[in-house]
Amino acid sequence: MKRTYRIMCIVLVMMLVWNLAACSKSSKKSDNLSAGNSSDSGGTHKSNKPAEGTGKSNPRENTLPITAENIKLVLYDGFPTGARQVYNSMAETDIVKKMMEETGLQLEFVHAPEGDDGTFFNTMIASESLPDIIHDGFGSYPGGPMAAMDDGILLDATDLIDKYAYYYNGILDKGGSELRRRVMSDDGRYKLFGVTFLPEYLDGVRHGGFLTRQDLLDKVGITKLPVTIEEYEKMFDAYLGLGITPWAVALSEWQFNDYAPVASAYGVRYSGFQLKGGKVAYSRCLPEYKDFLDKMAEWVKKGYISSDAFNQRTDDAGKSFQAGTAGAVLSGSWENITRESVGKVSDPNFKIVGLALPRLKEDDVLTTFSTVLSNPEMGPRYISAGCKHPEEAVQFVDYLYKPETMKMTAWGVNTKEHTLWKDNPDGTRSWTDFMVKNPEVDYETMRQRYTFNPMQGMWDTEMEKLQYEIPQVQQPWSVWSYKTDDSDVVPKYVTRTAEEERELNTLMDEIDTYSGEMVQKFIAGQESLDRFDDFVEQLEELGIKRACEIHQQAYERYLDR
Amino acid sequence: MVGKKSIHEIIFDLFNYLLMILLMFVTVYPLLYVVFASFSDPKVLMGTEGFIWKPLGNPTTRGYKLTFQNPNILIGYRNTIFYVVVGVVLSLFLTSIGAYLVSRRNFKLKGFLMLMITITLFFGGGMIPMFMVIKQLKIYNTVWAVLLPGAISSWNLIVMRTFFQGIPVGLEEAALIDGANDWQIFSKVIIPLSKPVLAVMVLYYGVGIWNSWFGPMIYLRNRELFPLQLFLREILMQSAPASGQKLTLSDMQTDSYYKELLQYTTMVVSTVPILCVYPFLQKYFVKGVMIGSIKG
Amino acid sequence: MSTTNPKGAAFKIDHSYHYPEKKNILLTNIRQRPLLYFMAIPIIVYYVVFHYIPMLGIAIGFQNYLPAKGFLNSQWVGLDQFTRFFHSMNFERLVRNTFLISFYDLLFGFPVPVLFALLLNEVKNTKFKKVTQTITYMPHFISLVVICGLIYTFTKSNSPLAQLVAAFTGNKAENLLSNAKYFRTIYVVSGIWQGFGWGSIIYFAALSGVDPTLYEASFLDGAGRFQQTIHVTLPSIAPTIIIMLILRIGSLMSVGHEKIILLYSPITYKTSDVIASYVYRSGLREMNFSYGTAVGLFNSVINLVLVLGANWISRRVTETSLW
Repeated sequence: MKRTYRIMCIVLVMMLVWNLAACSKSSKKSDNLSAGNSSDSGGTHKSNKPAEGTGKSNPRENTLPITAENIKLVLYDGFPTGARQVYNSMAETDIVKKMMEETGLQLEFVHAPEGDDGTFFNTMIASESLPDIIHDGFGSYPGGPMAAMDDGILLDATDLIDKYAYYYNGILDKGGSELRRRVMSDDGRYKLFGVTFLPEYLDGVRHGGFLTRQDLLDKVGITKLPVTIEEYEKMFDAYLGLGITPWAVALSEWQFNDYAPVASAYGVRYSGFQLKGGKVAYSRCLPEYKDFLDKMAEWVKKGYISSDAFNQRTDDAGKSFQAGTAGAVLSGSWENITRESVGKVSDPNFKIVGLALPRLKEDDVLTTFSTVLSNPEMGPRYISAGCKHPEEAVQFVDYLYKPETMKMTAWGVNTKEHTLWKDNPDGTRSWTDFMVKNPEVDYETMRQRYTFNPMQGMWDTEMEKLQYEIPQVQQPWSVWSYKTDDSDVVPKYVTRTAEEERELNTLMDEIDTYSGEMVQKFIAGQESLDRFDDFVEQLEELGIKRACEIHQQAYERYLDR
Repeated sequence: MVGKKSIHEIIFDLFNYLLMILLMFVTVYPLLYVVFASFSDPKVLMGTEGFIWKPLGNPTTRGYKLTFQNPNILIGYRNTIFYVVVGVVLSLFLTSIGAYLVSRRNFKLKGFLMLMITITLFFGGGMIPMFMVIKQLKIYNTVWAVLLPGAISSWNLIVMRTFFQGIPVGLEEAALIDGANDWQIFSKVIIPLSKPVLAVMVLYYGVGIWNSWFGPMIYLRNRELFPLQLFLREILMQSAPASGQKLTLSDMQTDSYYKELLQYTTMVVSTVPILCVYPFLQKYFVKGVMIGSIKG
Repeated sequence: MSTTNPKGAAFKIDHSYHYPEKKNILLTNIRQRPLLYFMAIPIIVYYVVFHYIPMLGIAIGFQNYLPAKGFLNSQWVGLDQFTRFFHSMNFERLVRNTFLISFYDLLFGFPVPVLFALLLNEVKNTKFKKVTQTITYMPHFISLVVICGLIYTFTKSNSPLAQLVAAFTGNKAENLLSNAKYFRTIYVVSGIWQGFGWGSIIYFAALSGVDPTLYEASFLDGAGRFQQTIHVTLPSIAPTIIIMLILRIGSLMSVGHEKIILLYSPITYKTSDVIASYVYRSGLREMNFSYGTAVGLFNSVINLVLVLGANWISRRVTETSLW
């Protein structure tokens, strides 16, 4: 009993000490904040509120600092992996410190845990104490961000944006009416504010597709890179002869749907909605879809695709490719440098080459639906309805689009402790060895620690060019774009109302489950393709026509914007 | 067991030993896999599929160096040890009191308490209401949000009750005759005789708290309070985003050689310590420990 | 018959005692054993605050809960969420899969830790025993993601297991996880493998409480080792086993989504899609708290009914029961 008593005393003391420590730390923090506030340059600038009546989309140029008062904004934003390892939140980084200096705002951050499947975000929304600026698409909110505005969670910042968002509007004006259309909602409110824009040359680039190995092609004597389905099949036959799995693919993962290999040859998507003859249709109901299934079933029968394809993950398929047990794989381009050096461990001749998507005829133009980079990249920012300083919030977001800020978020801040970049005499900028040849940490992690990718207003042209000069990235890119367009893609900027959304979700739950299962069975040969018409009938019974209707309505509204 | 061995028994013992060895091999492999992977050359690791039987390539401790350089790991350790120690004491205390109460005879609240406890085995309000309660109590983003919600596990309480019910009534009555009150019966009779089940509870609660990350993820914003498992999960989730979720351009650029290796080293670092707890508790599972404490 | 100890009186039968009204019984009891009531206070407070108040949130299942509106202002829809679930095309299949997977796990998985504990108990060498215990419970600690990775490797089309199955069935070697027929087996067997060591700990604890003198007595009666197990060991740990069984039945409808999601794919939906995985997919599409709560409530009710049944049977057949 005495011993128990002693243990409990120790525990209680620990708890007490802990609480005291926590108290003193937080009081220190608030001391720092109030101290930092008065750093501003002699109060010559007043809070920036342009005169009334400046009209729509004609804001005055914002000046810094945004405010001289002690205003704090709480931001929900991204937190790159590399940064997570050394900082508690982005507020501790040099970039954000500089931002606070320049704008005069106090910035506090809320970050979701890495790999959050939405739980953290959902709880945050339900908690009713929202951060001021939320960097999220609100796709999971019933009805989307517009419904969130209607429900009173988010602020409709249209007027403020018209008044204060000088730089942002500048970019929109340069992009033309199509860009503006993508950014607005059906009823003229701003749907997307604070997104990341792409430099023009990246607009429309496809960055995912087939990869195979040049050395394998050489080994089997194939000199021309396969483009048609026939050529692909020849390649696969040859790979079978080598005793490896011709194509390692993860049929159940999103990449297969996004890059649409084989399906695009027949003008359909693996799963989802597309345009056909200007109208929205469900790919799986189209007659061409049967031809696609036929081909896939054939490839499974011939052994081009193994039965592992149904449940393996993308990583597993990638591993097979790197280990040399598979000849081709679907991939993005970023991993290629790593892939090649890993592959070289088991085979020094390992050399990656990208292939154009298979098509029926050499000069067919495919609508690929592959993750098309389009302007703007998703990632809008919304102001919460409870924000006490909406004008300052909008001005802050706009500040991110100031050319100097965009350069800062992309390249980082040179400080006394470390130099990240230097400006060259010919006007270009390049990284120092500290970033690129750091013995302790690799380049990607360094970038995550010292730049602030989620807050970049636009991808920095120079930096992106640096990366894309690398052959392992360049070649696949150029080849993946070969004779492709996105004419049959339903624009991703379409908006649906909350009721439409709810109805659609209820329908799609069942339609996706049923069709997903049937399609995989067709491909595996467990269901005969003679039953395809029954399959379509069943889909109609489940309400696919109504789902198409809903999509069509939203699409028409989009066109009318 | 008491008795001499016959030939049947010798054969049985032989089979038993063999079976145990087989089971050990089959169950030790996952840990070996993780350990081997954690010492492997990262490039070779990324290019190997299937089972591995030794560290791949040139064994390296680079993964461990990087892991320990991550300040989050040390923060996580500090926090987890705190949560486990305080949490286990708190839970043991409350659960054993609860189990004691529902194992008493002639206690008019017993039925009510038992009902109250067992209903919670089936029904719960869910994530959102619990979150609201935490906020209302003003313990959001504090250690109490981690320690309090799971302080009593109804399941554990019921198991404990079963053990308490197995303690002979005679011992209780002997204490009563000596003038003991209900608290003294609890502390001087029941608890000392319950070492096996207390050891099990230390293990159940301890491991449960050590492994928990979901509660902390929802109830904590301040990363300084995160437990180790939450950091581990962050590292593990890098390669497996939620299905259907599209990766943005920046996500796709975060590939590095060490990603996979670090997953394994972090796993080892966050699992091995708790594995070492059990041997210390095993002495409580020795047969007859309860009876031996009887004072005759 | 000690009359100097007033508390002793509570345990002695007094035939001249008239049965008072209920209220007085409670008050008398409080006066007789005040410490118990005092000790009950923190327990009750804990349950009310952290279990029963949140339980009010079950009301969400009868609403169209929107975080913006909160509980009080969200629209009430009665049983609509439940109807949506019951009328969904896959309702029967989901319930069947959930039930079957859980049931197989119970049927095959429940006895394994018990048997293992009994068998290991027979081993004389304490060192060997301790080492075995420590090693067999390790898979429980390995992250599910890793375990599933091992399962993938084990069931791939070029693995020895797949080839063995192929030889048996006469088909070409195929990935076992892509075949709906094998899903439940793989799920249950891997679960048993991962959990039997950990699950046996409670039985070791129970075994350590068995009175050694009982063994001696039975030996003197001429019982061999096997008979001692049947007549001494099993009855002694029977209460533990039974309570564990009842508790296990109480989670029959609670197959969690995490492992299912890691192992399934559309081609195996027929046997692998359970309630939790279906709701999870639906939840990724839209944050419909109401739907999830309604489905959860449905599961809870089924679990409760099952436990009541199990408890009733147990009370009739044995002396052990939950209440």
